[in-house]
Amino acid sequence: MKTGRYMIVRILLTVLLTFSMTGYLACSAVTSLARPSVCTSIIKEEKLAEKVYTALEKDFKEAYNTTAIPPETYMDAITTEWLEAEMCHHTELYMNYINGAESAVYEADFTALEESITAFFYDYAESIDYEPDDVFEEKLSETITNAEKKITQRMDAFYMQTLQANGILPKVQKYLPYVTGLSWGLWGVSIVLIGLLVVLEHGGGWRRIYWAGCGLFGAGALLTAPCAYILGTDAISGFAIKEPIVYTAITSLLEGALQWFMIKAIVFGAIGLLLIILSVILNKKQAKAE
Amino acid sequence: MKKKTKDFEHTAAQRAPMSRSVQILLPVLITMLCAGIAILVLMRPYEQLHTYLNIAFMDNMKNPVDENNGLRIVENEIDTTYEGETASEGEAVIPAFGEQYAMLEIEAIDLSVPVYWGSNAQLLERGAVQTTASAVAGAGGNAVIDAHVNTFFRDLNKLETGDTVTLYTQYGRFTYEVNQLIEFKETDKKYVLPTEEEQLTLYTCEMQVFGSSEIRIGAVCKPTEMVYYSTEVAEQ
Repeated sequence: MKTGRYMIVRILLTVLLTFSMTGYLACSAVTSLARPSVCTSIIKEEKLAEKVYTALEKDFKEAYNTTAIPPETYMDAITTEWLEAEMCHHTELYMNYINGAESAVYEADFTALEESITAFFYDYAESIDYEPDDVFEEKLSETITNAEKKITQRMDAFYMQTLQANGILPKVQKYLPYVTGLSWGLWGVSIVLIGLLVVLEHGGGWRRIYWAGCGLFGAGALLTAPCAYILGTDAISGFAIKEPIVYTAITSLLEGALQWFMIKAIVFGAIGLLLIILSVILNKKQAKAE
Repeated sequence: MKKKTKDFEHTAAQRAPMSRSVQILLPVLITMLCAGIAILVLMRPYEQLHTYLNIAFMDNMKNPVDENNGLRIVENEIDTTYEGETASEGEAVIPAFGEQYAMLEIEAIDLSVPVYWGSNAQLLERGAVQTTASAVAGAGGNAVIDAHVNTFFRDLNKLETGDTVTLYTQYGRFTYEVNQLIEFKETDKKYVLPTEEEQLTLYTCEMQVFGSSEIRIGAVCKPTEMVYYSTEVAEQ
């Protein structure tokens, strides 16, 4: 009778350990994703700056049909190196905001672009004997503003500005510290539960690690299965926004996060399995020796 | 003595050995139990999230779009020298988005340009475009065609009242005469709205020295001859 009661207590504690470990893994994945280096490494690895350069080239070529401003006026002032540096700076700014910075106001250095557009306007005015007037200045200012807006929009591969404008980033900023706290809290709970399981297992020896192994194995398996399913079915590739820059940025972020999450879950599961095997084998040896 | 016995019982209960099969099966059973609990707990949130997930990841296309953003542009051969049977009445055919459905010719300004059904940047690169909200030529209504001023409609401002405009389609030839030269603001939809009578509206941006203009210029043309190719020949 007592054996059954103790068994139920251990099983319940193991179930709790499984969920606390699962929660810890999920929360730690969220906090890891909020690191600026995650997004900046995607920008560099996926060569997003090159994609942005191509998209801008196309945009300004299309704009030429209505504005008669040659795309070279803009593109000569932009390089992929400059774009990459600005994209990383832009992303870092917003990720720092998520992590508690007061504000995220992005201002790129568009000096070269402004000089290029201004030079084109004055050269063109001179070529047609046009004396610069208020309309000229207004059009020049409008063209510079539109170009800067277009470039900034294209550089925002992770839709940070849209998320900020829709009030999503402030919410993330508000709740992220709670997730971090929860992550540490669940880690602490897990340690306490493992301790309890070890203390309750008076059987001694290697049997002490059996229940902790069960909890770790359960958490690992519980998280590996959905990750493997999502990655296996390639569901992330069905991401609805097909604009190449955003598509690459978001799908790379999601796939990377899932892979990292799954590897961590597999490691936890494997440690759990190892503990179970060790417990079974060594416990048997111990029993024989006794 | 009594206390000692109790302690002994306690330890004995805890020390009760598990068979090896139980030891192996137990982690699997605990995982299954946890999975069951997780499914039960997450079922309701998943149902609420399901719609949003379907929207975010609904696309069956597993790759980013091509340079035309998935648009299928179809070039058709439009016969501008058709000499087969014709009729004064017939049926207009609504083309697919991105399909070239006509050739627009205006001798007065030496213009000959393909007309695509639908309006977007890719099509505007290739020729003039006709908004799908307007009527196809010969269907009775306002056929609205536009193009960029820096490319195909550069000389549209040189049109004069009385000039002849011809629209060749796969199902007929429609001749118009410039009836009114127009100028309107980009936001003013007056000239692009549907009409009951057949007419052709051509427009482009006003040519400006710097940057794009908010003003549109063009012409409203009234039909002078509507020729439909006989169905059998047109189908061939």
